[in-house]
Amino acid sequence: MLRAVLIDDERPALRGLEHLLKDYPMIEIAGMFTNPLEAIKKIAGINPQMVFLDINMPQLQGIDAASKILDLCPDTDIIFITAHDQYAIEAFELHALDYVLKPISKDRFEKTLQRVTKKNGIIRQSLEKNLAIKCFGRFQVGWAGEEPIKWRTEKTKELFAFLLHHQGQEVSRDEILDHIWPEIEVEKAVHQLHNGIYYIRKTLEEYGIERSLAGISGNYCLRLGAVALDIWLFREHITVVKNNPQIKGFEAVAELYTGEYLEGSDWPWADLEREQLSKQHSEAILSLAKAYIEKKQFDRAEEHLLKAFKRDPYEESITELLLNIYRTTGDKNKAVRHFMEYEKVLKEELGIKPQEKIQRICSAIK
Amino acid sequence: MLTWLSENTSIKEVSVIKNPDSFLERVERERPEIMFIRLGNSDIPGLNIGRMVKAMDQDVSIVFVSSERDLALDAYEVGAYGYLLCPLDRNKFNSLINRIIA
Repeated sequence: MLRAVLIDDERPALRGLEHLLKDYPMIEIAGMFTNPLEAIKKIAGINPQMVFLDINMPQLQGIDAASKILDLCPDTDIIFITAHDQYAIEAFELHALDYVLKPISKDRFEKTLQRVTKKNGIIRQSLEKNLAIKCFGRFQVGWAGEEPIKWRTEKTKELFAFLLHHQGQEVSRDEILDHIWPEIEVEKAVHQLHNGIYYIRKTLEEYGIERSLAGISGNYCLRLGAVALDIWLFREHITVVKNNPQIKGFEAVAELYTGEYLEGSDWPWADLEREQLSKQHSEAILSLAKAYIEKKQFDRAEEHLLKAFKRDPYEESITELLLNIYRTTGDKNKAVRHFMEYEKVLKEELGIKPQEKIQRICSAIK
Repeated sequence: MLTWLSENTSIKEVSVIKNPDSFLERVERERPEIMFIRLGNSDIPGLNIGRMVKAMDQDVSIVFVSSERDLALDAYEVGAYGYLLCPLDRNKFNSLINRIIA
């Protein structure tokens, strides 16, 4: 949040500004003053990032007000909003960030706000477009509802996914080389890496993604702005349900998990994360099913368990819970069918038999 | 101005370019951090170069140098970092440079 103070001796002008600022949720109006002297008294306590300042005021001229404000808060940016065009030189001398003539147009104000947010390193979420990154299921990066990014090569895609895997952290060159180009000689690999980074930057730029939304800094650190990254949301919901195990939260977890982490890719560096996320998902589904069972909504529980069984057929507790549901509902047919499928998978894939307790549940159903 | 700049140890290199086209080419290639653009009387071309450079690189700090007061407002429109009036005042010049470098 950026704090702004508005100073103009005319109240309607203040209200106009206030209205314009409504489009910028990252800016909080921390004070509005019709008397600049009053503002100067309070300004140090507010220590705003910016002051919108009129120039022609009876109590104190805006230029003098600005220099007093800067004495008190040297890091504050001054933005003059005025009907007078002849003070721009003085504004530059005070290093004012901008000088806007009244009446202010929306477009001109947008320019000012771009300067403000850029200077303060604020990431602005585009209102119309939302950048979605999908790591569950097939890896995809793209504007919501639009054709996703097409990567130049499979390696470029892997490199980006690898940086994303470590997003927010610096990854050393050697670490990248070890994981992405383990089999080729270092000199060649370094060259590939430089090319890869260049192509990622170019691809993101051409796709219209600003660096503040997704940018790679020098030491191979991918920084993300306000993007809809499914694993972030997933983790958020996992934390929520840990503290507050509600059906709604578990449903959100189930919905986000549209497949395994970076599914279909042959990237060994993703294996551990894939396993952990899958485990978290299975646990959430079991809790969700139990919650539905408690509410006697057996069909909802069954639906989630069957889906989970498809993803992870070896997980015994899924089958156990399913069979228990069929025992409660007395659905012998479904129980037998499921048991046979489970038995078959275990035999074919792992060469083992179901645990005795599973067999017992099944045979107990009449 | 050249002397003042050369006295500043943070400035690595200074180029003087007279032709606007070669100026744009050089900027594209070398991406300087700071540039000074001299504005003549009611100078639209000078302001336009500033605009084009800004589109190329948002982060560049442009300082317009002019003997006209009237163009300062346009300089704000372009997104200039500074505007210096001729004859140049050494203190104002240094304070601006130090601010850009900081």
